[in-house]
Amino acid sequence: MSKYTSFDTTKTLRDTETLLAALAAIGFDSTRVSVYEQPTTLYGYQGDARQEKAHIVIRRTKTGVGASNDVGFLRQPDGTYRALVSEYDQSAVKALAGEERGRPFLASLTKAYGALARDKAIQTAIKTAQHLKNTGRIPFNAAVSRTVVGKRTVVQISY
Amino acid sequence: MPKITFSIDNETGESSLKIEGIKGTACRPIHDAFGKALGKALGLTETHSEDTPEMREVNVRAAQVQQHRRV
Repeated sequence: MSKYTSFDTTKTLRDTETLLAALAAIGFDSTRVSVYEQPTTLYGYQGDARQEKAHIVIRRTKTGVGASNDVGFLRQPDGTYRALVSEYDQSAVKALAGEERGRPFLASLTKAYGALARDKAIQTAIKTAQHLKNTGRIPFNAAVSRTVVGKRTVVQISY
Repeated sequence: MPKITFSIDNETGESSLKIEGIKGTACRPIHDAFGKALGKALGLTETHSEDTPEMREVNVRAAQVQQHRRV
């Protein structure tokens, strides 16, 4: 039963830990970001409560922009996060650190998340290979290699 | 020679798993282990799964054998 299997993209904001790490990578670390178990109200630039709520919030005073609204990420029923960024903030809020510093917030975040998620997926594949060896599903002397072929990073297990 | 290949597009983030040279249902635990680990680590879910051409050929041959036996 040899198979081809495709997985959905690692660019979709889906994993909380990776999302928080990506935010930190562009300058929004835990001193700027709040995480809530239940979605909490977002506030506008005049301190007005907006109708939107979010699980992960950067309060407007911590966006690094003077007149800003809260930025939020609302967890959807399918487990993915939807970014809630006002029209104004889409161009006003920028990455505060890292290679993306000064570039638009959402594009920078997506790029950082994609890179972190890709690395995590590769590490997971390598760990899975080791787990398969440890549990006797594949021979213990199976060779595991990691290479970059064109635009793809490839983890190959052969025996 | 059995070969398991996990690859990921560095630009789009699309990833795939290819299991070759493992016949019968022996590849199922391998397939399941990768699916479970990627789901747990990143919430990635399977979007598509199909037999390789090699396996489709095996399936066709098996179906032909079954048919022959029935006749």
